[in-house]
Amino acid sequence: MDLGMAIMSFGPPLLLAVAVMTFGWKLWKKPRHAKPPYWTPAAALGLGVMLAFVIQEGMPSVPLSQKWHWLLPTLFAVTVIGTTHRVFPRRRSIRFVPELATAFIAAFALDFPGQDTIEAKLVIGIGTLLATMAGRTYLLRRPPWVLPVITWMIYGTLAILILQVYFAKLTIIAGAASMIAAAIGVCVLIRRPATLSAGSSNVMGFLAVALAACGQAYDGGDAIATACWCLPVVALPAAACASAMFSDLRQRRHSVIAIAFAAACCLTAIIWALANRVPPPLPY
Amino acid sequence: MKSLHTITITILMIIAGVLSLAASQASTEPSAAESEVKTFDVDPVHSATIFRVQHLGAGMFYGRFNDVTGTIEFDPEANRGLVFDIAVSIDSVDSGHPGLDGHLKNPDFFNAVEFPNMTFKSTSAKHAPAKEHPDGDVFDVEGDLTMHGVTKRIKVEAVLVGHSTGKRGEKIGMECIFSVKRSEYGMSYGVASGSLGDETRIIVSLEATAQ
Repeated sequence: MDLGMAIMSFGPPLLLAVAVMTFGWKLWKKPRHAKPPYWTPAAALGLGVMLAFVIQEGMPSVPLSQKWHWLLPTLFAVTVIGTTHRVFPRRRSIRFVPELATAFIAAFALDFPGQDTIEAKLVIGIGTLLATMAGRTYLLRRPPWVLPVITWMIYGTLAILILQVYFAKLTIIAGAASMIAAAIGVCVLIRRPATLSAGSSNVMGFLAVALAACGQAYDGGDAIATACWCLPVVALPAAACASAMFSDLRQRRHSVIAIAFAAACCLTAIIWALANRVPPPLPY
Repeated sequence: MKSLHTITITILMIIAGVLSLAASQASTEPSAAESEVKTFDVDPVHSATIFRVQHLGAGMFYGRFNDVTGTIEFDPEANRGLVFDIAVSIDSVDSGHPGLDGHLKNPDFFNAVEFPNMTFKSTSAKHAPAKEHPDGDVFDVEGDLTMHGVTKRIKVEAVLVGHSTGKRGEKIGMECIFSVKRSEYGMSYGVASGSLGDETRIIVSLEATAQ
């Protein structure tokens, strides 16, 4: 991929995400103490990745002609849930309704090849539930840049894994998601009072599971072990657990430990995948 | 009386001669009604589908599908009754580079997981004696090409490149060369950027054995 193609592929989604963040948070206009709207990170990530999909594949036909096109309508639905997160009931007993709805969408609407068994749907659904709940429960209370940093690593890892199965369009989509997560992190740092809403963690968790499931579904030659696809998804709950385990430490310290746990999951997945790559057959 | 007898014998001999001549003609050249349409199984070892697409606006890149199966119905004696029912396994794509094979099998191109076969089923075929080809008789064939889950009616010229009967049974050889725009079949990867051409030439070479 040359520089022009890279700019054309990654530029518009990144610009759209930054525009949404800038518009939502009014970075340079509002006084510093003003609380930015809660929906901007969820909308920025969802819309940016949707634009990346459309740039790569165009608008899918209806009914969908290929199963991986389910990524677009499901992401749209989850983005709607993420941006309207505040309208859901906030009572303690039912506060995970958006996460449950997202897990349900992931399990039953993501219709990738070879994942139509009830076991596969359960794994995808539970994985989504854990990833979204972990983001909401633990990471939102930490410095707001932790979740974007972790998701930046997760999407970047998934892009590397998807590249190993030669699915170029999905690699670019995962790469764009990684860049947008990084941009969200930068925007959060610039706009200090900003925090990530529970809606953001919803979209971030869903996207990690959806990209991993899609990459695994089209790994026709089983070039990557299934565990390698699971590790980046596990990174989110692992980081949340680490954060909880070391919560008696200073905030910045246990944030770094959480990031280290997520990084360990991601690095293990990459090293495992690259080490187990099937060498090409001899030419004679 | 004797002359009448001679004339009768002569006439009978002439009639017998004409009848025997007609009979001998009939035995050496069978009529179209006597020859039959046979079903030939495609020999996957000696058949292939080769494709060609332009790379970066410069060279022509060639690849092939090694696994071609199906049947051909045909009457090689009378050049009639030609029907193709061919399937090409996408998993058998062979570009000479394993990484490129993996890319061709993914949803960027053929999406072998969801669409494991490319098929061609002819709907009509006519012998075109007016068309000359150095390899043999030409047939105008119309049929449905299904690729990447999209079916389109196409017209191709099929050439009967050979017909033999030997130790391995009766065999025919057919070759079709035609072009399609891959973007019309939902495979537009690299078309907009100009890295890969849209026009794809496909050469289908079939050897088939009578059942």
